[in-house]
Amino acid sequence: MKEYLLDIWNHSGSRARVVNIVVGVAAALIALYLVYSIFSNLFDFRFITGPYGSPDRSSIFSLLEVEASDPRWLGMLKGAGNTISVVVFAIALSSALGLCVGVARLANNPILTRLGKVYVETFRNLPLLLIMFFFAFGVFRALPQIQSRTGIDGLLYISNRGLAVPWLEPTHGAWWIWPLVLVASAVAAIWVRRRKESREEETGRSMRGNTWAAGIFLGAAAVSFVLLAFPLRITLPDVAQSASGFYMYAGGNQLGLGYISALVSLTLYFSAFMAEIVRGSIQAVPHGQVEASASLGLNAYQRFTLIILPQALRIMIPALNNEYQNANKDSTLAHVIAYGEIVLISNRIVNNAGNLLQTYIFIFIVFILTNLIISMIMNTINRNVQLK
Amino acid sequence: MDRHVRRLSLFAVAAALLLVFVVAACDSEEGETARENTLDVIIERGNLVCGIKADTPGFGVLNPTDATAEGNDVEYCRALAAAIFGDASKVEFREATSANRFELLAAKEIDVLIRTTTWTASRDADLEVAFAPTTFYDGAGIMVHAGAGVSSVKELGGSTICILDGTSTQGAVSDFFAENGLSYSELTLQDNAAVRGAFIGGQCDAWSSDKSQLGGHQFTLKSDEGVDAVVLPETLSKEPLGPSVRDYDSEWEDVVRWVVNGMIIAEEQGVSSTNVSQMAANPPNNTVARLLGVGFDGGAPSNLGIGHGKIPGTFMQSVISQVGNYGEAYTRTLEAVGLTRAGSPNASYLDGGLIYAPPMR
Repeated sequence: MKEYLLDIWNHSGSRARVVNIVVGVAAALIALYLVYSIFSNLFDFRFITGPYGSPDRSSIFSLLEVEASDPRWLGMLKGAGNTISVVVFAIALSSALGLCVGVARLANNPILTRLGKVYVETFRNLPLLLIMFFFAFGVFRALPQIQSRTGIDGLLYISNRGLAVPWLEPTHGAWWIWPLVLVASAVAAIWVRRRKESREEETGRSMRGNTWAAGIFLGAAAVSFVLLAFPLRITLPDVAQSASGFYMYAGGNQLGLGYISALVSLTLYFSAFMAEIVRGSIQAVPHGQVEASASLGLNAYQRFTLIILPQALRIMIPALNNEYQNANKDSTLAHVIAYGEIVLISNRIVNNAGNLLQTYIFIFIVFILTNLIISMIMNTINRNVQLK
Repeated sequence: MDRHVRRLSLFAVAAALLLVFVVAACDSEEGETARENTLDVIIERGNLVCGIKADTPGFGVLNPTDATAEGNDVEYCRALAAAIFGDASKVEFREATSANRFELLAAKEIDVLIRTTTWTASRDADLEVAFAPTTFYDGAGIMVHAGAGVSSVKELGGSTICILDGTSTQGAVSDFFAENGLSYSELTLQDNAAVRGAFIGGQCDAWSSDKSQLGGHQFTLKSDEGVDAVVLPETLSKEPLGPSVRDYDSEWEDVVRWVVNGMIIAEEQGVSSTNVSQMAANPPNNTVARLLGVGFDGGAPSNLGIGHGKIPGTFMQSVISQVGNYGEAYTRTLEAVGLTRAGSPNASYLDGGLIYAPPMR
């Protein structure tokens, strides 16, 4: 018997089979256990209908404010909305800032170049978490108190409670029709512009595509605004005092410290990376292109906007896609400075209901979806700027 | 030979798998039939393992270097050790955080959890824990700057309130303000240091937390920063704190329950660590005699059956002589951090408080 066992072990074929079967059975058992735990635990989603428990007004859009009586699933959706409302603005602002810094680094002015370099090397080399702490607990806490009415009186106030800015507020319940009209007229304007441009290419006569598009969009916006009985109006912020003497912002919109800290930190951090992408992409355009356009008599502005930037964009966009997705994912760090984004809202729900697995699966889905959307948008832009 | 080997190898694997399944089956069967009696386990082990808070002065502070601890929760751990072993030092303290406390208890890492844990219906039912009598009645409160000129929570309309994120205080404040038709803004922060900074810097007008915590914060605000704050009189929620054990472990649960009750009764009857031996030798009445497990007026000691004879009938003598009664434990730990007992819900029912124990007979 002992000899046979040794034979099994010494014979490479049979040994492999033993190992295969053992590993296979172990894998099957683990898979079974996972399926079992999924069915017994994961699919118990009853907790999401329970009440959220406490209000959260850290959102910049009143639509996304969570009420204590909201069901938990609505709270999670609003948390996702809060994530999106900081990420969208962070991406827009950091792209604009990144473009400026990236171009500055290539300027002929030595002061601009060095400033650009210092900016990039500072923010690229600091942890994002640290930048968030720095703004949330350092810079913004040192701002003056609300009762000092610091800012532009009647228009803008800044204090250690946040930033109060002018905002739009709906005047009646059907205000949401107007943004829909805006989207529809934008689509129509783009379609008209495309037709005019292709006619222009066929005939060689100027068809004024841009003017037509702008006219359609602005005209439709203005007419529908009047027809819908002025659906939105501007409200201006003010510092008010309650009956017992507490100061608060009234009117306008209050951007809380959590939101501003997250927005500023994400913007500064990612603009440093984007500046490097912009610089690299511009430098990757062959120098002969600049010389050729100069010899055609184009001035510096025309050389940059007509010759260099379109070619640099082709190189830039795939790399920017990465950074945008990183910005989206890294926005989760803002839960440590108590901005009510999706992780913070989910953690609160886990604290009360204890369903960690299900809640986190929801977060996974949100980030996979939003990152796929970012990818889709960037791929569409990429297709449009590539040589056809 | 090759075919031989192949057949044998299949047989060997099948036998091994069968063995694994049989062992696993036996194991799970054993786990279901034999429900452990924690009291037996503690006596067998020779010491009590108690889950406490590590960083809250007055309730539980664990010294990591020599594993000693102090605080009101710790007094009850020591009282339990005194009741079981006649020696209050036979207890091992283990830190339980708010995140892992119930897991530690369920996994039998600790025998009892005494860690400022609020007794709620969902914990009692869902988490399968049983709560012993409340040792401290807490509740959410609100603190404001002394200069704000506010004397009631109902005057806080339009104020901004700082709250630790993810705590039950958020819900308590939200409910209270909604019931009273008041508006407020909430500023949540992730740790006490951040809340403190925001309160001092005027980012918020008020600070809400459990009243027992606010007392400590009020004290350190004054001593460290020179900031005067007042805790408003209203209590916004019920937070009864007490020891908890696993469900379906009633012998052990009874011991925990009656050690706490015994300490409360001892105070009501004026039995303290200084006079317990005289009282045991010469009990003034039948209540004291039953508490201390001795006979009254020459009679035989009555057997109350707590612990079914596994702990001595005179267990409360060890508890009171080594730890003291409810009031002594409170004075030593909570009064020392400024949590005044007189006039609070934690006064004896004889003085208008809520501390009351069922009779020991």
